[in-house]
Amino acid sequence: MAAEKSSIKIITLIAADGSVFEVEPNIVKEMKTVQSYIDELDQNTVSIPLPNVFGNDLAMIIEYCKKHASEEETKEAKEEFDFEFVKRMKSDDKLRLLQAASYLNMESFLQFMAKAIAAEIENQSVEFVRDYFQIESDFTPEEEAELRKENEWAFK
Amino acid sequence: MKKRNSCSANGLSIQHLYYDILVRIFMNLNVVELSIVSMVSKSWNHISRDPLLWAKLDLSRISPNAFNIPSVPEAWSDTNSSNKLTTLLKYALSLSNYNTTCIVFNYFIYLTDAHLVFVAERTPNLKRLVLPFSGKLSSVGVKTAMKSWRDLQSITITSVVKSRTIFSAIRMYYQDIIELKFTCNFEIRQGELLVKYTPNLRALSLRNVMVNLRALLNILNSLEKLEEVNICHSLIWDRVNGKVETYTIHDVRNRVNLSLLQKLIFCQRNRCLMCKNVNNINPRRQPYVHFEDLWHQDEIRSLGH
Repeated sequence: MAAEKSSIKIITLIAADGSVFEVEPNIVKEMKTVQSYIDELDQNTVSIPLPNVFGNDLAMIIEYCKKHASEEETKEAKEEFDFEFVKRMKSDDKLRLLQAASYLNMESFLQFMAKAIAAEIENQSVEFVRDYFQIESDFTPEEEAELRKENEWAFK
Repeated sequence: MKKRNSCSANGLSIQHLYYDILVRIFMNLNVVELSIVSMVSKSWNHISRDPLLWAKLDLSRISPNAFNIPSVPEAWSDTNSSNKLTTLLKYALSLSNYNTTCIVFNYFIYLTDAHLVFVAERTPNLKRLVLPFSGKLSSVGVKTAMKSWRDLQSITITSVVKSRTIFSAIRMYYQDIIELKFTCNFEIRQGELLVKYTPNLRALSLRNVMVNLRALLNILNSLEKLEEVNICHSLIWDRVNGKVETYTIHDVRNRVNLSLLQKLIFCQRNRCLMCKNVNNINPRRQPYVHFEDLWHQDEIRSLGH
């Protein structure tokens, strides 16, 4: 990895609200957006502004990365952590974290969040999903009625 | 995605969720939930049709809350349930837009000719078919379905269909079957059918069922392209002079040469609990979900789901 080759010791991430996080290079390995930034530079320290990620969310993402980057942790401990991590999040948090994961281009965290969000809409109604994702239907009343007729089974 | 009015308090709106992120979320949903998200809006409807989401249509993953299927066979044999299944298939397959290459029926649904033919007409590119435990399939129904499939390669065969019926359909439409799994007993007759009509068979699973020794030796000796035969937890038996004899894996070893032996996958623990239970296929002794698990799992990865 490029991060290992270069002499960077500490990376400073600056969130949208100005809060600052100092992390070791192995923590940001998963953040491809950050990584590509680092790869272009050849300095001992770098600070990277992340205008699309809020401090609270970044703190959570770093916590996740630390746990998963650790070689001492067992697979079970990581799974246990994942479980608690999801439990701790509110619905709104999940959507924000997903967007952050997408912006930071973090493959496995993105996968993880997609699964957590899918769990939110399991067994839910169309109305719930619209409400959760803040989407207004753009179907005409006729189209909506037609869809509902085709899917009567879904409306028990 | 289309932009709409609202923005959440933090200034990041869900409208910015890109197509591929939504596909990632949708990848975790089952067919019922996919149908729900397809009704959310026009753009979501469009995304819910992404080919990635429909390559495998898995009805076994439907949760009982969304679509109540009791865990007993023939629970869905009444007209009302049958119609409900048709409606679900109709909508799901309209979203799939001919992109489905693998269909796994729910183990407990009651499959009729009408369902199978309906599915077949909308899945011309099907490669793998996993049949449910119960239903009523006729020879005409199976043949009509088989006519639509031109790339079928792999089937999990259950007691829902007679071997004669399915193999004559395979022969009629020259299906080049390379993988098979039987969840019903494997007799001399089945061995003969395989040798005749699936000459290119590469993988065969006869897991946790009763397997006739002569049938097993026949396919091992005759099917040259065979690479793997899974007989984990199965009971090998034969009728000799009117008497039923059972055979251990050691007995089988003595009857085939080394190169054929290497193709066999068997239970290393020999006489484990599952091995002992094979001739106890008695619903009063075991819940049906146990059989559903057997149907799901396989040591040959491509035959599990």
